[in-house]
Amino acid sequence: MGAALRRHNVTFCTRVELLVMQQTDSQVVRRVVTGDREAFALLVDRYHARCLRVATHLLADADAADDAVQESFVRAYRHLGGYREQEKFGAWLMRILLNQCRTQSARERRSTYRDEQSVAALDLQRVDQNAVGAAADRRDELARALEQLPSQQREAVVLRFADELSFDEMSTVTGVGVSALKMRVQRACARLRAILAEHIHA
Amino acid sequence: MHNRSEPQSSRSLPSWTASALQQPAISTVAARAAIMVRVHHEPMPKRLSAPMHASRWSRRGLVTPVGALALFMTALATLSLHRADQRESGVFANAAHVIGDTVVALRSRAAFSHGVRDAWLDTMRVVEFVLHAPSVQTVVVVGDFNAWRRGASPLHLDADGAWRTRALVSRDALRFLYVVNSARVVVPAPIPVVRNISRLSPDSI
Repeated sequence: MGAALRRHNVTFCTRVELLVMQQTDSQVVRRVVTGDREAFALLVDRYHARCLRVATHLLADADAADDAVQESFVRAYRHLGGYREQEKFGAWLMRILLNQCRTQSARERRSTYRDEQSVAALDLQRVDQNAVGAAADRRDELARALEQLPSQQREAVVLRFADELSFDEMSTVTGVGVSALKMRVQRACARLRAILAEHIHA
Repeated sequence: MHNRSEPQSSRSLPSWTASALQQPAISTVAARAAIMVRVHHEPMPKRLSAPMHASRWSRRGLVTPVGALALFMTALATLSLHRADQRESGVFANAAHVIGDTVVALRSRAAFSHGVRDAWLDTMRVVEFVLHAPSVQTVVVVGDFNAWRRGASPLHLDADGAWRTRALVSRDALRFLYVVNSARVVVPAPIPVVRNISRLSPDSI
C-alpha cells in the first residue's frame, strides 16, 4: 500500500511538472504578469542557451555575452506587460537581446581599443587552443572572422546560421526587410569564405 | 527553420562553419539563478492596456463580422432603451395644488414683554402634490418642507392612476422634487402663489 502510494505520488508530481513544462510561452507570460514571479524561471530555462549562443557569436566574448543575456532577460521581465501574445516570445526576446548586444558593443568600441597587449594575449590564447585541438582552432578562426565583419552582416549571419531563423523571422527580429537581409547574408558569407580561405592558406 | 526553397550556393557557409556556429552554448545553472536573483529585485511587471484602433481588431482576428454586428445591435438596443426611458420621464404630468391656508399663532414671553398680545409665527399652506404616473412603483416628494427626507412624504396611488399626498408647506419652502422608483427625479411644476391670506384673524385658526 505504502509503495503503491509512493509510486502514485511520484506519478502525480511528474504529471504536474509535465503540465507546467507543456505550457506555452504566452501562458507562462500570463502567469508572470498576474503575479507568479517564479514562472519567469521557465522562460529563462527555455531561452537562456539560445540567447547565450547568439550573444557569444555577436560579442565574441563569453563574459560580455553572459552580461548581455542577463541584462536582456531582466529587461524582458521589466517590460513583460508590453508583450503581445500574437507575437512569438522568442522573437520578442531576441529583439531585446540584439538591441542589448548593439548597445554593449558600441559602448565597448567607445571605451576600449585593441592595443598591443590584447593582441599578445590573443596570440597566447591561440597557442593554447592549438594545443587543445583543431576544432578549437577552427572555432577561434571563425570567431576572428566574424569579428572582421560589419556589425549588420555579423548579425545577419549569426541569426541565419547560429539561431537557424528563416528570413521572415529574421525580418521580425531585426525590423529589416527580407531582401536586404538576404543581401547581407550573401555578402557576409562571401566575406567569411574569403577570410577563412586566407587563414587556411596562411 | 531553414527556408529550403532558396538557393543555398551564394548564401551558405562551409559545413564546419555552420556546425561551429550552431554548437550549443553552455548554459549554467548559476547564470540562470543570477538572472532570477535580479528579477526578484525588480517590481512586478504590469500588463499594458493601451487602446487599440478598431480597424486592427479585424486584422488581428479579434472580432469577426458576426461579432461586430452583434456588438452594433447591442449598442443600438441600449441606446433605444435609454431614449424610451427619457420619453417616459417626460410623460409624467405633475402638479402641486394649494388646498388651503392655516396660521400658527405664537404667544411668546418676548412678545408679551413688548406689550403685544398675539404674534403670528408663520402661515402654512396645505398643498396637495399630484403626479400622474400609473406604471411606476413608488413616488416620494422631497423638499425644503420635509428637509429632503425621502421617507417623510410618500405619495399614494389613487384609482385614477395619480399619485397624491398632502403636506403642510411654509410660504418660503418653494423647492421640492418628485423621486420616482427611488432613482429618477422629476422636475415639478411650481407651487402656485396664493395672495389672499394676508388678512387672517386669530379667530380663524
